[in-house]
Amino acid sequence: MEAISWKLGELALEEVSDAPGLSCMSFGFDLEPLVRSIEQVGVINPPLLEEGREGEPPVPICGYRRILALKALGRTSCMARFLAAGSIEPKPAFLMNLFDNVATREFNSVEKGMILSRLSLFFREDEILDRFMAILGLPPRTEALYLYLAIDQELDQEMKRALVRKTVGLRAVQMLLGLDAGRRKCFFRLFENMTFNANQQTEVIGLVEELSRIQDASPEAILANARIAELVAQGRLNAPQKARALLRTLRKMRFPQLTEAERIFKTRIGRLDLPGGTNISHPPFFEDPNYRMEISFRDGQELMQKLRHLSELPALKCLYNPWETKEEACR
Amino acid sequence: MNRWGIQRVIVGEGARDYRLTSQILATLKDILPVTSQRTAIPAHGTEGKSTLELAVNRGAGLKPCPGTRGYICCGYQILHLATQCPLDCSYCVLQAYFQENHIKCFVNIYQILDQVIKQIDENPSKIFRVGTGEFTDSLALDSLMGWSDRLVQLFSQRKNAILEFKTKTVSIEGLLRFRERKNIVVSWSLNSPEMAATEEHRAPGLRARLEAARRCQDEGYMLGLHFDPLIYHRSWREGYQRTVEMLDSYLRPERIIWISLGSLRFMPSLKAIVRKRRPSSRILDGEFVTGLDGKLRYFKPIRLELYGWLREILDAWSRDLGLYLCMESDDVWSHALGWSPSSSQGLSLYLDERVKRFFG
Repeated sequence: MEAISWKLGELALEEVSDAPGLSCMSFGFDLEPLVRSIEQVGVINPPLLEEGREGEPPVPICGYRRILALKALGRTSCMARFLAAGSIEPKPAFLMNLFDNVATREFNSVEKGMILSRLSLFFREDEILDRFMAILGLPPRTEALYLYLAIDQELDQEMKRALVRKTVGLRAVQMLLGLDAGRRKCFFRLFENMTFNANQQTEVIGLVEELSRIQDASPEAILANARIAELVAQGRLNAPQKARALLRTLRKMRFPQLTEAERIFKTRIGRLDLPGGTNISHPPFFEDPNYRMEISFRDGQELMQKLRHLSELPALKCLYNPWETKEEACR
Repeated sequence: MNRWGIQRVIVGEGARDYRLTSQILATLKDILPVTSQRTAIPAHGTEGKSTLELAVNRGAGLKPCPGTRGYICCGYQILHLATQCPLDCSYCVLQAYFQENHIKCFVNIYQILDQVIKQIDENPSKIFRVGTGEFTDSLALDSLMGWSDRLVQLFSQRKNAILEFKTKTVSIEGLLRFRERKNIVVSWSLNSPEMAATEEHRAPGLRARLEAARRCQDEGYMLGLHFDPLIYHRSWREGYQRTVEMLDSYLRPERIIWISLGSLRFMPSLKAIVRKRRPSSRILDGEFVTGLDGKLRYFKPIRLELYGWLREILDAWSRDLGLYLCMESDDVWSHALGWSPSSSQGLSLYLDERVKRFFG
């Protein structure tokens, strides 16, 4: 990029629009720390603007947030650097702002999407992958590029804010971007109303989407079947408990035979009167044929006592695969 | 469009030097071939079905079936002549197994076969159960590639090997041109009529497949059948029963060397592919859990139900069908079939015995 010359001058803040310009790459930020900083020490790094042509107002290139902070402080003017009108093309202007920001802060996911969208106006896809993904802390892969472009271009403002606030995780957003706008909205509303961690969000989307497909019903109908409204209104459960309860219900709806087998197994183990410190578990999904027992003990004497106890438990005979019927074994 | 649905031909590196390449290009004379370039290779699955790459196989010609950890494998050897095929089954695991979605056929077939025959002849005490239907359909491109022309005679002369052509097609003209029948098994993949019609895209219907199978059986070929993948769907019992009833009206069970049963299983990455390519498919509706090999498969009692039912209706047809399970555990074998070979070695011995009994 060629060196450019600018001149220092006074900027009348009222001349500058609050709307983010073409070079802007800020979204969902908290202005307060910057306001406090300027209040304490003033603007150390003056904003850079391109002068307007024929009476048009100047256009910010770098320093959009600083201008907003100054306005929030009630200031009417500040010192700024000005480039002559028409002296800079949109591409170098955008790059100037990008590298000014890269040096001083991290971008959130929406901002990365904004940046990549703008870059795609100026650069080929392979150039973006090679030159800019790493700068943004992203893997140089097409899927990652497309994900962030979709975040910028397909999510509405409310959803973008939810992503920045981390009400919705990035992996969940990735799944939601594959859905139509109506379905997407349904999940966003759910995540606004109930607190899920990132893994739980993707699990909820996966389960509801599969149930919706199998039952040929909308996600709203599936969530209604899962008695979501009752769950949300439940006063005695805290937020994580509500999230776990909903997931349990959805899992039961999606995997009725597996969850029933788990329930039967748990009931049978509960009836066994196992000695303290003894635990029997089933293999993941009952796929391996072998069950597992763990016994904790202090010494050989205690182990012998527990083994004796176990060997005298007639109910152990009733421990077999939950889907099998071997009633004679339990007699 | 030609009968194989091929619209693009890519000539891979080194493939131009082989006579088979010239023959195929002459057959597909309306298509202007391109040389191997990444841009010529389609990323999209459906487009891949009409793209044929002629390539040179520089790896091993014979590969053991990629059986997976924790399950009993039949010990089948794959004769690797091609990958992918023109059929487009929604459940096809090759969509996730191979990175490339287009059809690739190897033109150095004589080199491959020399290597394979040498391996077979150097191990006379071992029985080689060889098949070409693991990475492709064995017959879908036979009339273009001439596989049966080269393979039937070669295998019928071996003392310790059989060759299985596994297909869903009716392309049996090549097979019927020869008099040799020894050591050749022609197998059809079957499903319920509903699954065959809705999930096995571009494949002939069940009736057509069974007509082709009957023709082969009448012409003296030994048959194999594969109910794989069994799919748990609405009215699945009636569906599979209907298929077995059709078997009864078309085929003689005493000329069937084996029937395999395998329930739908797949690498997790296939799920997204199916959702994208076949949004209306119902194959993912079942209760799938992660198996010992990391693949998704039906929860065990569902598999037991599927196998148990198939065993019941097949047993009612004949008690000597060489029924075996594909990629199942010892306990599922015991519960579903009432016996277990215990290990992959045990299953290999069982199938080898069938080979000796049927081919001597």
